[in-house]
Amino acid sequence: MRQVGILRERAPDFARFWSRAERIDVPSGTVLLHEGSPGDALLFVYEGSVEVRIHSDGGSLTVARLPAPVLLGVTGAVDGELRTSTCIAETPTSALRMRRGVFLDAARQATPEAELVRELLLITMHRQLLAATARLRANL
Amino acid sequence: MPASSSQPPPVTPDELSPLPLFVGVPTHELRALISMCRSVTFAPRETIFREGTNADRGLLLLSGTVRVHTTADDREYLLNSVAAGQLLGESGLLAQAEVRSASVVAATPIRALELTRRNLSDLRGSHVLAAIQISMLNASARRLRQTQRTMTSILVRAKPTAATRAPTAHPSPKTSAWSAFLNALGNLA
Repeated sequence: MRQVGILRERAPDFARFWSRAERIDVPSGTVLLHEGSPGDALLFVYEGSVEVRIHSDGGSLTVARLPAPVLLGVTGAVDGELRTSTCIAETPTSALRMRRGVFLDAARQATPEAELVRELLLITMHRQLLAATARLRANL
Repeated sequence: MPASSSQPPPVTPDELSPLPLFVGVPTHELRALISMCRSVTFAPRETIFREGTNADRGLLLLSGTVRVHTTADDREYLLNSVAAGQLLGESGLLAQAEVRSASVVAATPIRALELTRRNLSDLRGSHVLAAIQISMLNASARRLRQTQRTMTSILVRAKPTAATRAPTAHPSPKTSAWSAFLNALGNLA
């Protein structure tokens, strides 16, 4: 997210979008998102670091470590389907949490802040998809 | 994109308003969308987007079905089909243009509305832009889930020793490719 220029330029719009979110401050080891649970919220982690784990063969596997700032639960917030990974705070972590219904309502508005967040999410998802597809091609 | 040369009949708001993505969008905004976009038609088997070419526009499919396929090792792989009411080639509507990662071919006669980044920019502040971008988000979510399922199945099959360790900031050359794979999967969280 640090690389997304529109976020740097339009921080007030971004903050306005998140005005309906709740702030959470959690100690390290706190589970922020559970694999297999419904995609019921979007999280913006603005301080701390998050470990991403997935279940594999009865155990769990760390697949990434994501430092703030990072958006978590984007796909679930968009489509409402089950989460595909567990996110755990690696350090004391601060985040904004927006329930899915609130997020969808806010994102559908014809406002500058909604446009900013839609564009940000589209760019983020597109980059994730490109990176994942590149790795897939390299591993196939 | 070789859209058919004869002038297609104009699109009307009545064609757009029943589409699920435009539920609740005021008619005057649909009219504005129609006035700024080109309507296009394609014959069956006509190539709409070609893999490897510049992605600078998308299509809103009004009628017909298209097939999306990619080529690897000189073989063609069918990825999916897209039906009326959905956006097509929407990566061409993002600020960072990419090359097309797949080809799109008309499976039936196609009627569509062509969208450019300029069109989206001109629609700022409207509900119709919100509807189009929400539809793009849903399409991206579907693709991310498909990709994540594929990556997870590879992960379960491979199970290398390196996978039991968390990716580090400076992986050794031996594990860097695998770490990159895991990171790409983890970033889909």
